[in-house]
Amino acid sequence: MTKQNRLRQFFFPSLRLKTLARVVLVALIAYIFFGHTCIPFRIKGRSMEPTYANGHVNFCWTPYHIFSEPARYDVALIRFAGKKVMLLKRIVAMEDETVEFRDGKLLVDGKKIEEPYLKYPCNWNLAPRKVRKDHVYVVGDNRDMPIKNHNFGQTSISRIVGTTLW
Amino acid sequence: MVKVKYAIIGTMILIAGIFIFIYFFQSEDKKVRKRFDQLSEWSSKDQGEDHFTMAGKIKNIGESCAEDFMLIIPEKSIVRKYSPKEIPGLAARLRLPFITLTVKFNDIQIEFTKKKKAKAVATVIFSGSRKEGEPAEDIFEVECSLIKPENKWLFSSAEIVEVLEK
Repeated sequence: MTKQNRLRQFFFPSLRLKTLARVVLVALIAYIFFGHTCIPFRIKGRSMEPTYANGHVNFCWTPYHIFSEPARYDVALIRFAGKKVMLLKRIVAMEDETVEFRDGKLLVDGKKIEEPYLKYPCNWNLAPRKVRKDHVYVVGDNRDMPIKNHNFGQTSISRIVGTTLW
Repeated sequence: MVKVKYAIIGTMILIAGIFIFIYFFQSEDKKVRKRFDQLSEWSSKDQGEDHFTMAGKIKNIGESCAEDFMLIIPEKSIVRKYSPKEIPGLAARLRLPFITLTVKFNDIQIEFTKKKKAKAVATVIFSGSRKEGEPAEDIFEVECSLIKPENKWLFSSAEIVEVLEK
């Protein structure tokens, strides 16, 4: 078989049962992998800057839950009614912990939490509140905006779909 | 020649039959989804929308709600019943501050709880521009109850689900 024929056979294979089976298998694997395991998404918004910039593409790694429990500092994708639109936030407190913002500093159970990922100034103040059972407290990395404009708070662990691949 | 003519006519009748079947025998799930599509269209607003179009859309929104439509917004402590007469006024007030408005329902999940009763959960993406020129965008989850008193599905309640509680 000449090189040209081999190329033609690779890109335009003859319609045999074996070829069809391969195509179906590849499509099925791609659907399971990119539809449910490693879901591609595009970041829209500045709430996680500078860690995740507006417009960048990443993947939501859903087996995250299988191998480990959500932990502080993890980045989590939180679903609404489904997985088409999700929130990208960082977990800062776990259940039964008390969260507070004082002059831009995050306090968990009254102790200041180190947040090396923060690059922008913050002047938020928020009265202490307790994280309910089976919930986590999530906030974005960009706190250089008025507190009322930033979407954050406690959410059910069941809403966490996965984490970012990088 | 005659046979070809009959074959073409037969094919056309078959295609028309398929279209009629799809149009008249929609599943209840499709009918509820169509209701969300219609609500999305009526809620959205184009720049320079004339009064006639606006009046028509607002009237349609009013007619898509059942008697004593219940609106629940926990974040703003709103729990209120609206009569069919009040709905157009509410819709007009909500649309008023925007020059353009797009309302999209994503990830619609429908569950038929009883005969002629359904519950639907959806992610609402709300984007547009305010009259002051600033862009407006919001995403939230909504849980709706629908009833079918006659031959149309009507919204009987809508509750904004708090995904993140500050």
